[in-house]
Amino acid sequence: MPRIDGLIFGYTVFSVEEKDAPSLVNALLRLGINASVKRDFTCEVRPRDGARLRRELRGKIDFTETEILGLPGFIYRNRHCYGTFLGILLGVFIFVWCSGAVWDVRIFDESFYGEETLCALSELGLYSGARWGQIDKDALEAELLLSSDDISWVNVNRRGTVAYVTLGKKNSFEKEDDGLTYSNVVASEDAVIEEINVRSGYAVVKAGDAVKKGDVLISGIIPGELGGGFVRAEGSIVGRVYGKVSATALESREEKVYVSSENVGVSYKILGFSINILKNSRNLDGMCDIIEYKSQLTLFGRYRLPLERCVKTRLSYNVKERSLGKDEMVKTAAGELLEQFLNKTADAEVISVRTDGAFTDGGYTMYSEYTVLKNIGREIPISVSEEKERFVPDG
Amino acid sequence: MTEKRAVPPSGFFMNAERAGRGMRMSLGAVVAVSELSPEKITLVSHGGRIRVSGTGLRLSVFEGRGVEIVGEISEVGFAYAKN
Repeated sequence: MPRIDGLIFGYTVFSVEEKDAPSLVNALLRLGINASVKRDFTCEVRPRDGARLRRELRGKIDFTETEILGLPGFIYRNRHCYGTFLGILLGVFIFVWCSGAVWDVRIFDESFYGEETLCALSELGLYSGARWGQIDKDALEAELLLSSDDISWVNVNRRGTVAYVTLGKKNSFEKEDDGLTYSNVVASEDAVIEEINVRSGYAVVKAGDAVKKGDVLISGIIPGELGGGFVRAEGSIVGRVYGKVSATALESREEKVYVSSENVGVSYKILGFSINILKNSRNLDGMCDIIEYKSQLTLFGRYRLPLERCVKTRLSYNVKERSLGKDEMVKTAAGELLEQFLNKTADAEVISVRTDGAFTDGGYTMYSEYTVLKNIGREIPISVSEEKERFVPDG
Repeated sequence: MTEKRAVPPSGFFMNAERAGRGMRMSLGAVVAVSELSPEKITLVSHGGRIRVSGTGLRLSVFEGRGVEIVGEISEVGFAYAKN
C-alpha cells in the first residue's frame, strides 16, 4: 500500500533481483533517500529521488522502474481524456454546491412541535435547500426570538450540511398583559358552582349556587364596605354542567363511489427546486377528489434528505344513494354521537354519562345526557367612565 | 558548566522496541548493507558488522544513514572488525 503523500505527489517503484537488493539499499543510503525495501525487493521513491536513484544504479545492477504512479501519473496518463476530467470537475462542483446547501433542519426540544417551528424557521430563511451563505445565524436567532413569545433562547448550529436548532421554552408564570384593565368573570354556561378560587375581585357566588349563562361570578367592582374601587377580576370557577348531545342516522344516505383513478402530476423537489415530470391538467366531467401523496427520502428512516417526490392522483366518483341496515344505522349514529360528545367534553372532567337510542320513522336517533366538571369562568371587560365615576359593562 | 556526553565519533546508535508481533530495531551510522533477505540482514558500520536474523524482515532507509528493521527478529549478532 503506497503512502498517502506518494498517492498525492506521485511515486515510482524500483524492483531488483534478490542478489542486487543490498546494492539497491546501499545506493539509497549513499543518496540519503527515504525508502522502504519490501519483501519482494521493491521500493517506492518520489519521482525526483527516482531520477537520482536511476543515475546511481544505471550500469551497475539490473533493475526495473515503473512510470509515475499516483495522482500526477493518473493526470499524465489521462491527459487526453477530456471527458474524464470534465466528469471529475463536474463531480467536484456538485459536491461543493451540495455542501453549501442546508440538507436538513433538526430541532432539539420536544416541547416545540416540529411543523410550527419548521414553518417559522422557513419564513426566516432556514429550510431544506437554503444556501448556507445566505443565512445569517445571529440575525436568524434574533428574529426567531422576536417572532415568538414562547421561546426564551435559541441557538442555531451547523454541523456539516445539517442545521441543528436548539430552543429554550419560556416559563411564563404571569398572565399575559392583554390590555384589559377592569373586568368581571361571568358564567359561560348554566351550571352549579362546585369550587371557586378568587385571585382578585369580589366573589358574588359561592359553592352550591346555581348560575345561568352570563351571571357575574367574580365582580371587578369592589363594594364600598371593602374599600371600593375597580379591579381586574381573576380566578377559577369549577361548575357542574349538565348537557345533552344527540345524533340521528337516516335510513339512506349519499355515498361517493370511486370509478377511476388517474395520475395527474408527478414532481420531484430537490434542494428546494421543484421539477415537474408529469402534469395533466385536462378537465374531466363529473366530480373528483385530488389526492396528493408526498414521500421523502430518509437516511436510516430518521434523517430527512432534501429529495421529495409528490404524486397527484385524481379520483373520479359518482354520488349514489344507499340504504343502511339497522346495524349500520346504529354504528353511524354512535360514531357521530361520540364525536359530538368528545368535542363538548374536551376540556372537562366527565362525572356521569347516560346513553340511549331509539328507531324512528326516518332512521335511528341516539342521545347522551352527561354531567361534567369544567371551568365556566369567562372574563368580560368593563369600561369605567372617569368623569362620572360610573361603570358601563361592555357589550 | 556544561556536561560532556560520551558520543561515539561514528554516530552509531541502536534502539529496539516491540512492534506488533515482532520488533522494530533502529540503527544509525550504517555504512552499507552486505546481505538482505527476509530471513537475514547484515549491516556494516564503522566498528564492525551487525547480523540480524528472523522471519519476515523488512528494511527501511532514512536520511543520515539511518536504517530501521521491522519483523520477527530472533537473533542479533555483533562482529568487531574494521571495514
